[in-house]
Amino acid sequence: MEHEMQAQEQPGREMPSPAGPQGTGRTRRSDQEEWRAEFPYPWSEDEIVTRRDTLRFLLAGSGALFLGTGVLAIVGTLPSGAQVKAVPVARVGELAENEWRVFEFPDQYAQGILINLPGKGLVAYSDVCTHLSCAVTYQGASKQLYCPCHEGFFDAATGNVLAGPPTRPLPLIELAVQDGIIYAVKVVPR
Amino acid sequence: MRQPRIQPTPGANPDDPPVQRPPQEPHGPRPGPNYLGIPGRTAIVQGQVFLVAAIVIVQLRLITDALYELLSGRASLLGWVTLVSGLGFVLALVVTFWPRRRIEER
Repeated sequence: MEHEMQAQEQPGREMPSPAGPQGTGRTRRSDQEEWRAEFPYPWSEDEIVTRRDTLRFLLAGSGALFLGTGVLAIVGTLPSGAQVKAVPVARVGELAENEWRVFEFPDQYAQGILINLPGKGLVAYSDVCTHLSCAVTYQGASKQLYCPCHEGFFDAATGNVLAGPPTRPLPLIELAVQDGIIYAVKVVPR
Repeated sequence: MRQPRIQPTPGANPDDPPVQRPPQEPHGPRPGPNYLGIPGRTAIVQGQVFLVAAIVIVQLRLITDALYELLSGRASLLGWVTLVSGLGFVLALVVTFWPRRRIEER
């Protein structure tokens, strides 16, 4: 479109003719000149990158990807630097059945959800949905954890996915009781 | 309307030359007639490029999955992903260097 407008604005420019052998030849020449102007590589340099160069480049890329994957694996085996402190989340008997509470764990940037499940007792999970990280809430009637963003449902007894777009279960949070206080101890990714 | 009868022919095109089996060598069929010339080498290198490019695409997918697993806090699969990526690299090495060596030996 831009080229057409430029061509109309330049009266001296050679315009393609729709009919006749001369017109066709002129069109071809004009197209070629335009192509050369936009892609000014001389033919003598057209074979700078040979197939063998491409092959070497791909081989180097393959090695780099292998090394990169290895680095990720090594990083994955390193112990996490920060020591997680046990965080008090509730007192024993504070939550009635089907009551729940959100608490900050392991730091102020992440949250967990503590639920007193009927017949099972206290359970805690990370409240970050494993789909796109929205916060889940507890629905006592169905004993499910619900993500309102994309209708994800998790089993409150296990943290496993029941329905919706999430594919992974919620990370567990291990609890410990000491002196009548319930502590969140550790996040267990699954 | 009467349909013309189609005579069965031995090949798709009767003008085609008869198909012959390629000459056999101890390690299998011999390559094409001009495999040591420029066109033959070009075809071989072109095939190498395609194969290694396919391996690199698979490795890109693997490193993407590895990063996803790492950021999800699950490191158990990363060793296997690295192993498969390493096998891909070894395969790319073989694809790159093995045919050239065979050409130079002849």
